[in-house]
Amino acid sequence: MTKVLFIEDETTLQKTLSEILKSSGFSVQNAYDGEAGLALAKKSRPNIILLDLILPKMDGFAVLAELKKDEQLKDTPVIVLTNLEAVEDVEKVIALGATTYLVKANYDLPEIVAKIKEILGK
Amino acid sequence: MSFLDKLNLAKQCKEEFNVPVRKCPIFLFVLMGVIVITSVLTSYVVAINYSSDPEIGALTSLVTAGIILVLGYIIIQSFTRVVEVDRLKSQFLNIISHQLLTPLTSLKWSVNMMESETIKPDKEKLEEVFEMIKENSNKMIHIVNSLIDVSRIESGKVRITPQAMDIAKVVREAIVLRKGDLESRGHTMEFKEERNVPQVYGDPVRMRTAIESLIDNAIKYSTPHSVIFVALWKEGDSVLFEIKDTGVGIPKKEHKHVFGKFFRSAKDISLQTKGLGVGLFLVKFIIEASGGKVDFESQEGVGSKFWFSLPVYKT
Repeated sequence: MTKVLFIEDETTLQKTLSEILKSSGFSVQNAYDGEAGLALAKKSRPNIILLDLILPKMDGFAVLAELKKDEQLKDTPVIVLTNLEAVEDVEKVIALGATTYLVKANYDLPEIVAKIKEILGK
Repeated sequence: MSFLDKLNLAKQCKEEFNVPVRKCPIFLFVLMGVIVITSVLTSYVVAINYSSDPEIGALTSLVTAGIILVLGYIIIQSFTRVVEVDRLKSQFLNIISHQLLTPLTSLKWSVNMMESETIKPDKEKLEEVFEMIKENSNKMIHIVNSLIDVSRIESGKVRITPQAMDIAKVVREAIVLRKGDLESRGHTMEFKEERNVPQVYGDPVRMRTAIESLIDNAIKYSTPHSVIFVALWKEGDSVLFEIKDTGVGIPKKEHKHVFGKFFRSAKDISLQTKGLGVGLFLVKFIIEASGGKVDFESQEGVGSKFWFSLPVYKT
């Protein structure tokens, strides 16, 4: 089963997206802060990572930079899911190696699931 | 704008910059012009009358240069303030839009979940979704109410009528309400309450907001698994409340802005913590409007201590 790691500190967003991913056949792991997300990524080696940018303990930029330094995780696709819309933030995460950048408020849940499937070639 | 309106500096300052005349760049510029012309004319008159004594002429020129320098500095300061206000306004708009987008996304995704054909939510799941919708609606209401509060305070429309209130009860209830937040971050709270703390003057509803705001800050800025100390005791004719954390602390250069509206520490922004920057502005207003005083001590990397005093209620 395809493993998705979702790093997000907002409980409602965690619950709703996780539910729809599970019902679409994904196995979902959740982390509520950057440090825990990075540790879980290293431990469980997910197939794809959904990453928020504003996170407690370690922000999404730092998590992304660490993921790309890890030999076994550097090729794992990372979708940045955030409500920050500043151009400099988009440029920064793309430079850091994110696969794509989605503004959460602009997407419905099925659209995000479709995007994940598209990236994973399903 | 008519010619007469252009000459009305007070009106222009109010409409263009929304600052008092003495801080307005247009007024300061005109003032500088008047003073420069007066100074030059004075120098000229002095130089003519004391042509036999060049020292007086030189001294007058020196004083004129000094006045121009000081005025130039004041004008630059005034422009810096205008630029700073503009920067704060952009920063505030970014913060507020992000703060509202998060609960709005939660609402949107909750509705998506309810109508999802793949999930087909049962009664239990639907109840959970309704709960999330309620919680996020309340978050948005809280954000908008905070903004309305700030605006009403600024226009002098908020009246606080202090009355006898049981401060110890309000503190105890606020701590109980934050139990979940404390536990989720692994914090513990030590509450030292003196026995028989007397009633104080205050507005019970507003005071609860102030105390909750101080507790929220301590929780938010403490490193995980910290101890937060809260104390309440009587001293003279006042009751004192104190809350101390071992959090990130506030850099010294930002101390003077702490109780300002929409203040967010540079550290706060780099740590990406959430908040509108109105909590402490409201705390100061609520405490002072009740006849109390509020202050703080903070050291970057060590933590912060906030305290306030309220007058004891006398029958």
